[in-house]
Amino acid sequence: MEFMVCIKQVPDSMTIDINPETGSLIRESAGAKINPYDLSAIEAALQVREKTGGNIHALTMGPKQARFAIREALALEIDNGWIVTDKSFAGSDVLATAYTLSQAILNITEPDIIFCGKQSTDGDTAQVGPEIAELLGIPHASYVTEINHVDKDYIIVTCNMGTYKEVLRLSTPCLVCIEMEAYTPRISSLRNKISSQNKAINELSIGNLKDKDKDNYGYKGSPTKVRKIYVPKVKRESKIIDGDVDKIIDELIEKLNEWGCLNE
Amino acid sequence: MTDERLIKDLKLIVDESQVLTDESTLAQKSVDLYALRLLQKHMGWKPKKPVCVVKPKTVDEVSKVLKYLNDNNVPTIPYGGGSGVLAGAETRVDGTVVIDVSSLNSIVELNENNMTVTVQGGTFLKDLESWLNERGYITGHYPQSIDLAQVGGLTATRSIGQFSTKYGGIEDLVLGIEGVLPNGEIVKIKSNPRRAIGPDLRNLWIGSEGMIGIITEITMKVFPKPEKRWLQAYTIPTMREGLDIIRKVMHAGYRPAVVRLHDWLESEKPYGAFMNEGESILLFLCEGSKELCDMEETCIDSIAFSSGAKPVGPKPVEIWFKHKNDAADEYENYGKMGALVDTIEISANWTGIVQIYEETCQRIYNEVPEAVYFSGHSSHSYWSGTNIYFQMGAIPKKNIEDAERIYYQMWQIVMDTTLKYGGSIGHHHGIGKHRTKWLPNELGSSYVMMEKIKDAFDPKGIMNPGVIIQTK
Repeated sequence: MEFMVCIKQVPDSMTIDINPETGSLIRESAGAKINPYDLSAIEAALQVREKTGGNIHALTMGPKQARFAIREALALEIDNGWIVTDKSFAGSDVLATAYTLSQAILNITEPDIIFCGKQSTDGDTAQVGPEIAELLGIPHASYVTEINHVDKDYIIVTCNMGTYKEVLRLSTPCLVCIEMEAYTPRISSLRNKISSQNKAINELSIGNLKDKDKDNYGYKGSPTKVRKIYVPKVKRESKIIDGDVDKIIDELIEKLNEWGCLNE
Repeated sequence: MTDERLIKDLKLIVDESQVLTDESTLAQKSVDLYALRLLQKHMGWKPKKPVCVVKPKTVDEVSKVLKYLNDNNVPTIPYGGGSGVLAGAETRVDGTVVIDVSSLNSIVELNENNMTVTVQGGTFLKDLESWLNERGYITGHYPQSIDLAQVGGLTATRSIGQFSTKYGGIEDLVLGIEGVLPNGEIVKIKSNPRRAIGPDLRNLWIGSEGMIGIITEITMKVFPKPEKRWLQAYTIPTMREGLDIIRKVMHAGYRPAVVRLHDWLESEKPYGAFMNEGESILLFLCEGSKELCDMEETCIDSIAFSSGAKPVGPKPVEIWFKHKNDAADEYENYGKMGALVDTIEISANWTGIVQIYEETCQRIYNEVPEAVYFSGHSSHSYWSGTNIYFQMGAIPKKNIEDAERIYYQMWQIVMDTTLKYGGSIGHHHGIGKHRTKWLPNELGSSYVMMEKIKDAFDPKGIMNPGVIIQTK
């Protein structure tokens, strides 16, 4: 079977710089990592492959440095890594991102199952996965906590719908958005980390996609615009309070008040 | 002597409120931040608790308490901020009393003419730094433990700060020391710019880790707040080439406050946007007067550029600066994840450092299948050499023994390789009770001097048993 995991490189920290004029994140200022939800999607794909066999492709859209995310996926023993990168993709909103990824998937393979993380830790929209499915015209399930059954024709999954659980049967090809807690990501070994450095990463640009119209990608192809992004200020301070319990509590309350932690 | 009698007697020497026996305090002061325990405690490991924790408020009280404990052969551990990472403050002997020096926390004197400050041993470094900053000065000493550590503990563990290449390690900063010997004698070494009056007695205290007594007061250098800072990062294909650039900068006589070289594994996540895969990154931060800073900027840039380094701007240094102490917050989480994570810092001459880095990395790769991470960086440089700070991660089976087996295997590889190329097994974390087994090989024929120092100052062996010298 063929599997595809869509992954995103996200800032590694909440203390990220913001361009005061455009309101956009300066991604290089915070370091980068694979979106934690996507690590769970990778884990789900690895567990399915262990049962069924097959190939897993990892795909990301992003600038050159997103190769590090693909490298990390390869260290987790993903079979093939893909990056779709082009200047025309800059400024993509969720819809333009989903469109770009769907175009890339059409170029790469015909996956039986596409795995996505439920959402990303930077955008938090949880829309890219379902939109890819819609654009490809395939069924999808969100909030997936368990993949109960997989075969060539259909899969059965359990979804956490908040107050109840839903068990769905989806015909393949299909797309699933994985809950982070459902699949604890494995940690790649040092040996795999090092050997993954020598694996090839496949690169796609707009010229490789079926739709080559730049107006359908990036900022131009995005119907939504971000008005403002800001990060709450974090003050780092610590104090160790010793002594008897009553004194500690008094001093603790006094300190928390001073730091504004008890204010409404 | 029974525990009850011991507690009763101590309450006659200091106020009852200064002798703590509640479970929370005993548990907290029985350990430090020893990495092995941060994992093992999630596998069922339990600390051995001291009988009590005594909190003297004056040097005189330290003296009286120590004399009593010495007269009665009571194992005694001095406790500062608890930020040590090699079990130096861990209670391992039954019947131990911990002396917490946190109440000795006065800033005694700032001498702006001599540019020195005198503080009591329990003064938190971050409090001292803030106090000095308000007056236009800095300590120049910024270890990763700055939020927890106290000046006495930093002196006792021979600490280093992240800006050490300019300001020096604690041994370069400390000018005078007052301490209390196990028999209660209060001894004072006056602050002086330099002396030729026999062996430098300060160095018996600096790095002593509670082996010979308790440090109660320190006089150390202060520096004016820097007028200017220059930040610049470079990428470089290999660690070998990066280390050579640092060597050239040091030999040309420049003293950047920070010069760091991170290998590819450490660089890819924080600095990936600035570099190609597989490259290492070199970070420089110079500070001081504008003239000095401008001169260092021009000269360091010239050395780096002519040696093949590619300038990538100040941003990576800003990222490092912003997140330089984050790792300290993450250690608890690694333990919860079942991951064994630690750092091992060694130093060596320029002639041996590359071999140590390369061979250690290769051996870990070949010999430790459980390893999930192993990287290194140079972060403190000197005329004749530099350090390598190895960062290791492994996933052992979920039991105390397997965690210990892998932990010691990885440590053994680093220690063996370091000694093979003439390096030193400990650059700035000290010896604690963990690194003791390698100390005889480190010191060779001079190990006997260490034993004699211990015997001379602590003939009854009550002071922090098992620290630096293995208990016989």
